[in-house]
Amino acid sequence: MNQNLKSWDMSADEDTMKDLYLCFSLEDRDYAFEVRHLTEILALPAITTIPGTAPFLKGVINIRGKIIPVMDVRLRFDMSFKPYHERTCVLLVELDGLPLGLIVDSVNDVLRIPSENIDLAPKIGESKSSRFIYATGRVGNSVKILINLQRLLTEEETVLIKDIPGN
Amino acid sequence: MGRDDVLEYLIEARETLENIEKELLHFEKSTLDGSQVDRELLDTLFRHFHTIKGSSGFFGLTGIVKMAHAAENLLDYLRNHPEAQDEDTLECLITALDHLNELVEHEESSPSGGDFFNELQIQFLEKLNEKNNEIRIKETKPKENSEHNQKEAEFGLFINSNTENSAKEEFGLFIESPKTPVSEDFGLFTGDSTPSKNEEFGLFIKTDKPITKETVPKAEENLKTEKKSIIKKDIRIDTDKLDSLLDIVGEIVITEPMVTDHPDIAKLKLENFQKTALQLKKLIRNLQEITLSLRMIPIAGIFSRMERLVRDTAKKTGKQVNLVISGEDTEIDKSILEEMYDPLVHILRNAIDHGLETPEERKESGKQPQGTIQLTATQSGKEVWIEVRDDGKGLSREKILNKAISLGLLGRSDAESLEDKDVWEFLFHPGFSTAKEVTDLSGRGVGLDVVRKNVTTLKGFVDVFSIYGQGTTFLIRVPLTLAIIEGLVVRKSDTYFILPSIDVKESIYLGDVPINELYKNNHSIQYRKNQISIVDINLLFGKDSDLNKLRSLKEKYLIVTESHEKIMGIVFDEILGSQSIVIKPISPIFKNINGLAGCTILGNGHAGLILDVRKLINQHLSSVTI
Repeated sequence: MNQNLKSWDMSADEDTMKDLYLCFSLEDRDYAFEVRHLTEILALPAITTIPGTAPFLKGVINIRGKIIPVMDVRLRFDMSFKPYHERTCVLLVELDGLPLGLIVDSVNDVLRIPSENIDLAPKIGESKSSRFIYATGRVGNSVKILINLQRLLTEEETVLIKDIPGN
Repeated sequence: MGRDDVLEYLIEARETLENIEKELLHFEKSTLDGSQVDRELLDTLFRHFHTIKGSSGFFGLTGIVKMAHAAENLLDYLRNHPEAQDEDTLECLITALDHLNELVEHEESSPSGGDFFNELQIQFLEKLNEKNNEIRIKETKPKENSEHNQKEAEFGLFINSNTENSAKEEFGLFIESPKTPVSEDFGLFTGDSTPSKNEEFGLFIKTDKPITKETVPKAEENLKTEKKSIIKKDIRIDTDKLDSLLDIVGEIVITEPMVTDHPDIAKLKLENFQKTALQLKKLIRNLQEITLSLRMIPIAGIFSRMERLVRDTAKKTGKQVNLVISGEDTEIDKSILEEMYDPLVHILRNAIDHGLETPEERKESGKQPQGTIQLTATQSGKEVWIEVRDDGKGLSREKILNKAISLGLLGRSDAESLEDKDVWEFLFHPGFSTAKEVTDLSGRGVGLDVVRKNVTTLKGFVDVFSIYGQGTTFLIRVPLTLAIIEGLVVRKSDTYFILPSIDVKESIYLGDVPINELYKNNHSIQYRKNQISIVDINLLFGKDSDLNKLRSLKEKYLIVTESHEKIMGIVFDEILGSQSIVIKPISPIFKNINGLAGCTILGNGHAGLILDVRKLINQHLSSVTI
């Protein structure tokens, strides 16, 4: 009985969250990912650096007794580091059951992007940061870059992390 | 009857089966010299099998009932004719136990009504029933009787034991009054209660009936109260519930200093508040201790399983082994205990297969033909030490070195200078096996490296000591519990670190202590009589050290850490004090982090990093040659 209820709830959730995207910006570009991955949006708490890891993994934060790793999305996308300010946000997401905090410049909006407005990203070269992008979404006159969160942590990176001296 | 009830019962059944195993091994030991087995032991075994039969019948697990019933029959006969017992009978009982275990396991994983699920079991049941007849024929019983028995073995579950019993002299009492309520209404329990009743109250058999009638219910009452007190002693709790309790207590332990040392009240003079705060601290500490102890169970559970393993391995290898167990009351965290099973199995098998010599070899070298393995558990501070000591041939330095050289682990010229304990370390190298051939016990090269890995994940250590010709000792040291440790909180620039208190030897204010710079990034100071290496934590994580700016060191602290007799000093900016630390794992996103044992949340809300001192020391000493 319990299980039935749960699965029913889930499907309801899925429906209401369908086509909803969370938009954030880095530099002057707008990015978005599916809202269903998002658990929470937070102001940036104190970060404890974990020594000897990839530079984009900034360290860990304490969210109500849980220790959660945080990633600077700018650094992940090979942009230059920008000092954190009062609008810097942490987007708490869950990827394959692993919680992760994403540090972004600012959060804009939650938008509905129907699937007919989404075009798969043109394959322009295989540059590093284009790997994270899977599509573009048209919202009015603007275009949101849709990112594939799973790709933020991939095999390639584990190799990268291994290569860092001291490990 | 729900599936949950069955599952709950199966856990109970497992416990009974464990007891049976223990008693059977005891049985075997006591009859090794050909002496007859103790009547009391047979009664206990009989009762256990009977309990399994009775309760499994209640849950409709027919396979278990049939098997247990056959074993019970055998035991019942042995009780009165102990002279009929031989090695084969014992083997039958042990195999019956294995089948019962198999049936219980099968029922747990794939519920199918508890009947036999493979041919072997049916065949064995037939064999067991034959055995039953056989020993009865041996005792020159009329043949009809045995046929009668065989029939009953399969159907008339309870009648059989009753008729058997009533036929006996001791039970004469009930022949005259066959309509005692006990045997009619509570058929299920007769087997159980009558024999024990008679054992204990044999005194009354010869007295008058009315008195017996009074004593019968009393005896049952006694049994009941006994059972009640056992129930009171332990309650089964879902481990999930326990875990969440432990989590919450962990949070309370962390929050307590957050509240009592809150910066808002730090500068206020609140005498009464301090008093109550102190009281609260004490209570929280008690609460934490009790919660942790909830997960602690005696190590005996695993040790007794080792007896069977040793017996089987000894049989397979043809060696004579005397397993001496001590310290089985030592308590250890349940999750750690479970992880200890595989390593122990491996080490004990190794000890018998490689360590102990054959009886002939032992005689030649002037030892007792029977080898001894001591399995000992002791609590030492916040660790449990488990020791497996054999008196076998010991490790051969030469063989191990040859193997290590052939694997390219070291050069021939280095071999001479190695200390014994460094030589034994090679045993833990993956794929390292000195066994000449692959047996079904060992020699496949999957070995001690896995043992070490298992123990290391528990934050424990495995060490080996050996004297050639005299034996080998494996020592496993594991923490009592994984969740909470005592730690020293220190700060280095804006990062907080925790050093497990076990590893901390001393803290020194550097002040005017002279520091010697041997060369870049390699400093040492005089500590007691020795020069010890000191390092900057930055360096250990692959960053540049600020130790080179000697001037800034003046106001820093040196924590002297020790692990495995190796000492190293680590420099920090500030020491914040000692406190209980709830260990939280580091996200798997951070791969290959060597020097960290985990994370924690400190009173100020910051995440702190728990240092893995042993690894740090090894890492440092291997990168710096002193």
